[in-house]
Amino acid sequence: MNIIISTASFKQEFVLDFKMACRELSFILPTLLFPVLFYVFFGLLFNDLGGAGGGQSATYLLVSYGVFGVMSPALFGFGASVAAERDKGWLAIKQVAPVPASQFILAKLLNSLLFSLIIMVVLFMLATVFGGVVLTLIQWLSLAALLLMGSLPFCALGLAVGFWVKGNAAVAILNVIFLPSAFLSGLAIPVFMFPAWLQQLAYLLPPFHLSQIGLKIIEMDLGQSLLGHVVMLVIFSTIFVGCAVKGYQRMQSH
Amino acid sequence: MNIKLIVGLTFVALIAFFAWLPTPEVKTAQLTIIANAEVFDGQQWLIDTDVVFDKGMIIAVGKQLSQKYTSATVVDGRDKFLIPGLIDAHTHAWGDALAQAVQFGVTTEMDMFTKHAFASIEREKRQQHDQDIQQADLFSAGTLVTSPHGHGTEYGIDIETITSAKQADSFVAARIKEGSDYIKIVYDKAPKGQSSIDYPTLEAVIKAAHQQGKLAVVHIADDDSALDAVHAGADGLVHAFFGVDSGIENLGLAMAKQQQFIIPTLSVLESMLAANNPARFSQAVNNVNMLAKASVLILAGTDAPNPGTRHGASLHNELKLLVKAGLTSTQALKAATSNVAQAFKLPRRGYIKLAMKADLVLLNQDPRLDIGHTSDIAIIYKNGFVITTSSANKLKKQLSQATLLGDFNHGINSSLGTTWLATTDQRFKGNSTVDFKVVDKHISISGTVGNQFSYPWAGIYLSLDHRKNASVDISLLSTINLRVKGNKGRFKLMLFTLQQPMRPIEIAFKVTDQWTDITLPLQNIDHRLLLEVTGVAIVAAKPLQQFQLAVDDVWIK
Repeated sequence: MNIIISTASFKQEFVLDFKMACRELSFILPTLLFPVLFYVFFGLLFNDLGGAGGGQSATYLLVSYGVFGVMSPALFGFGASVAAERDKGWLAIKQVAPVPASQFILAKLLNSLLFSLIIMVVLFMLATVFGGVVLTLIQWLSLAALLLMGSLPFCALGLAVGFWVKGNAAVAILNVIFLPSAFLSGLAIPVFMFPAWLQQLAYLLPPFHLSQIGLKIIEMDLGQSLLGHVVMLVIFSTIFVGCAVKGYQRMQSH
Repeated sequence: MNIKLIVGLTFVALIAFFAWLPTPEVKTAQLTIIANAEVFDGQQWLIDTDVVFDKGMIIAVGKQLSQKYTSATVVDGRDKFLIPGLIDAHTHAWGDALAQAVQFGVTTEMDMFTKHAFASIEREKRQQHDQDIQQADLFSAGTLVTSPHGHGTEYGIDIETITSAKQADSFVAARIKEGSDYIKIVYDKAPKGQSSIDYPTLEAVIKAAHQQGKLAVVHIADDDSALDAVHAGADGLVHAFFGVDSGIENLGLAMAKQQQFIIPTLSVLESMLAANNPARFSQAVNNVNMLAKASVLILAGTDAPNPGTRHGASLHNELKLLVKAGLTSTQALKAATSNVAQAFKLPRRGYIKLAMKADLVLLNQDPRLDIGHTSDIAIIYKNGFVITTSSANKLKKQLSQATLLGDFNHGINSSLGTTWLATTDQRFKGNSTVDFKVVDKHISISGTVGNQFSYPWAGIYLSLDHRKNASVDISLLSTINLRVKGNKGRFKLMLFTLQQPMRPIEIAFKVTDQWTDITLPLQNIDHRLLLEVTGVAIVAAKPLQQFQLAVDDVWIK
């Protein structure tokens, strides 16, 4: 891949991609609304009712739904849209166009990060205004940085699926990956409330490790080593990137 | 569309957003002035004096300082009495001991044996002069020095012991490596039950401690052992001693001359002896009196949390006992402040002076008139932060001596002015029933324990205070005693506490068809639960169905 990118055409690509995403209701609604709705429901309303967390759940679930929130643009913004564009032949046009493929990937990546940022800002705002969540500036910033960085493995996963699977099938497969892995990672109900065998399963899921790092920032994690979580995420990312590259090569050879 | 502008604005908006996000208020010890109080500075009383502190340290003591420190928060000290934070010179600290202690104005504890790991963790906090730690500072002997099977080995803490004088150097070095602030030695000249180190070992350990720059204090119980410890060069004795030796006056003179101190711990001796061997207790009190007359430095220590003593609360009792032993109120205050600082060379505490820690206790009443006024506390400061006292400790109502809850000789009233009532699970829709009457100077209870409520009960209940929902602090008491007879089976005593409203404390006891005296200990119960007890119940519970129970002479002691 050629990595030299022309700024002018990159800008165009980025803006175009952003507009396309905004027009795609089936993308924008679930991506933006779901984490926010879930957080309002479980993190704020239940919290208000004096739930077991006693005010702590608004903070705990801010991390959970933060992770949930950045997963969805990463998976769907990348995966589903790449698959859809491939179906429509857009990808083929782009491949023959005199711009490097990396530009197309990078524009999508930045857009995914932009959506993650929007979701994060909305969640942070809800958490502080309605949930009474108070963190130190370092915690706020680390959490924000973590969520943005943490969306990268899911971008890779989305891309891998997008390159390997056709449009509609991609959406279905991503849903099958997205929701169960989110729940089994303890994003809806904390992992420590699971039966023991189910807790073991969480260790095999990337959202679990990302949320544990996030919970570490707010000192509500299970107390495992930070390095362990990072190593797991790096391993997952490597696998996903590998799959994406293979998928891209396969797609080109077809 | 100007992308640069959009990106720039987004960045600015993001920065503004993160700046807007709420962050926790950083609590810093504020510049505070306690104005116009009568101040005991650790040595003498100063009238109408201002004390200013900032960042955990006293920065000025004098007159009319509020004009100089205009930005300070002013606390009106008029008609109030400011004393240094109290120091308990003999405790055993673990768990939440230090948090308990500070609730009663004890801002430093001198531990005389605890797990050295606990001491190492807590010791560091005493360096945090400007932090809101809401607990007392700890100095600790860590592991004590005793012989195999000697006193100190019986508490289930696995400790190293010493067998000969030759080991003294390395033994002391090991303690210092563990972090011991001073060395505590257990010595008994003529051991009867438990073994003891011998005199040469005592002398060698004291010498080793001194060579390695630490104080050596000695646990003794009788006058002969005290003489030996003083002779061996101990820096202090950590208990009063028994015996009516004519040599005690000379001992006192020697101790005064060699600047050896004593921590009488009359509180723990009182709780052990006052009831069953008052003569022996007065020996100890008399000996303290003689030592005081000989100008021996006396330090206030309680030996909390041994039976009958509590961290913090008992130091106020110790002050009373020291006054009983012949000290003036001001001398007693010195015993709990500057004397300890002087004896143990404690930095930055024990006095209200420039550059001392802002560990302060503001009293509502003059302790010179009655030393008991030390427990009438207006505000406690630790490191310059106000101690948030739990409501329990603010309550004045406290049972400190044996109280009759019912002898049923003249009806069903208690000596607290409250009346025994029937109690069952019917208020939780249970179907237990109970009936009681006074027969032959005891109370006779009959009833059935039902099966509709998961935790059924039936029995009798007594409020400890006639005001509704008012509670009583029974944490200074150690047992509930009663005489019972009835169906063979398990019954239980329940204590209702505001600290845990939905779950009473339960103590099970067995009943036979003969009158039996039962003593139910309270020591094992979390002391916080005993701070706000509303009432007590004596009930039958599962699996009894029909039951008969006769109860007499219910005491709390």
